[in-house]
Amino acid sequence: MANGRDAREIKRIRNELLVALKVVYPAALQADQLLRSLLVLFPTLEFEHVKRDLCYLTEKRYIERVAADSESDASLTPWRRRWFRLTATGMELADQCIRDPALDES
Amino acid sequence: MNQCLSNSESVVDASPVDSPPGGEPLPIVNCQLPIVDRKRRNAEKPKRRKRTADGSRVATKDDWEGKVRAHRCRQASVASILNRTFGRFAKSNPELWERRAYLMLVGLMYERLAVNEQEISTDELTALSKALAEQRRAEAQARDGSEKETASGGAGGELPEDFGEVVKQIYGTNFHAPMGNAETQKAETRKEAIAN
Repeated sequence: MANGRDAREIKRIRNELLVALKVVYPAALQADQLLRSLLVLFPTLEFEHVKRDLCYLTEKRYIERVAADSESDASLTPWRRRWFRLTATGMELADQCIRDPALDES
Repeated sequence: MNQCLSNSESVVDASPVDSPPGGEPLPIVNCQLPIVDRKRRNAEKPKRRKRTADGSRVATKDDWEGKVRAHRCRQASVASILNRTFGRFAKSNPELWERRAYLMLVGLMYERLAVNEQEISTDELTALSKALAEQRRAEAQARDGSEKETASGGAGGELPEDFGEVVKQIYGTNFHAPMGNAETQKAETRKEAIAN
């Protein structure tokens, strides 16, 4: 349980993030755009939740941040404007070539 | 707009060189949540019914699966449109995504309010309002960004002739002339304070 979400919903949100990024692979999406696309499935989703999950998936090396040329100092870019894309491992996971028990929905 | 385009370009530059040739559909059809292998039921044992009295739990699961299916259909449509518009592994244009989301929402609201006689639920209304608010926020941010770019690129983007002019543009005054004005203003302020 984290921020009022149960484990199943957390896994669903993380999986949906991967699927959304898979649609545009190898291009990237902004965190803001990811939130808007996820609101269709998770109407009560807050940006803070998405931010946490993006951090988690980045640490798991399933997604990576892409710094645009226009970002002079990437650390100053607001979270909503940051770009993310799937890594090769993340693509394998989204294609179900590999499995991660932490993201399996039971 | 320019920022988005440059972002997209930088992303495209990061794409693998040996990617497959264009024309193939994106593998979005396979975009399904992981299917978990469940335990097989022992056929000899009678099936035990769940004692949960709430049928809402089952309905919720069905709702979820239906929502996911509908979402997958939309994603497949988006993928095919992207594929046709930009080609496989070509750059994506986030502006188009935002525009599409906006039109989709407006269309959905119109359908619900004008065509469908069913009353819109609070959850749906909340979701739509939230999505619209997010969209508006994104548009406002984009507009602010373009205005800043325009402002910074004002006067043809030419640099002022001397340092004093630069200071004047930034602070509204420069080091030389307005000193007297500042002194005058101070004196006037003092006079007003005394008078009051």
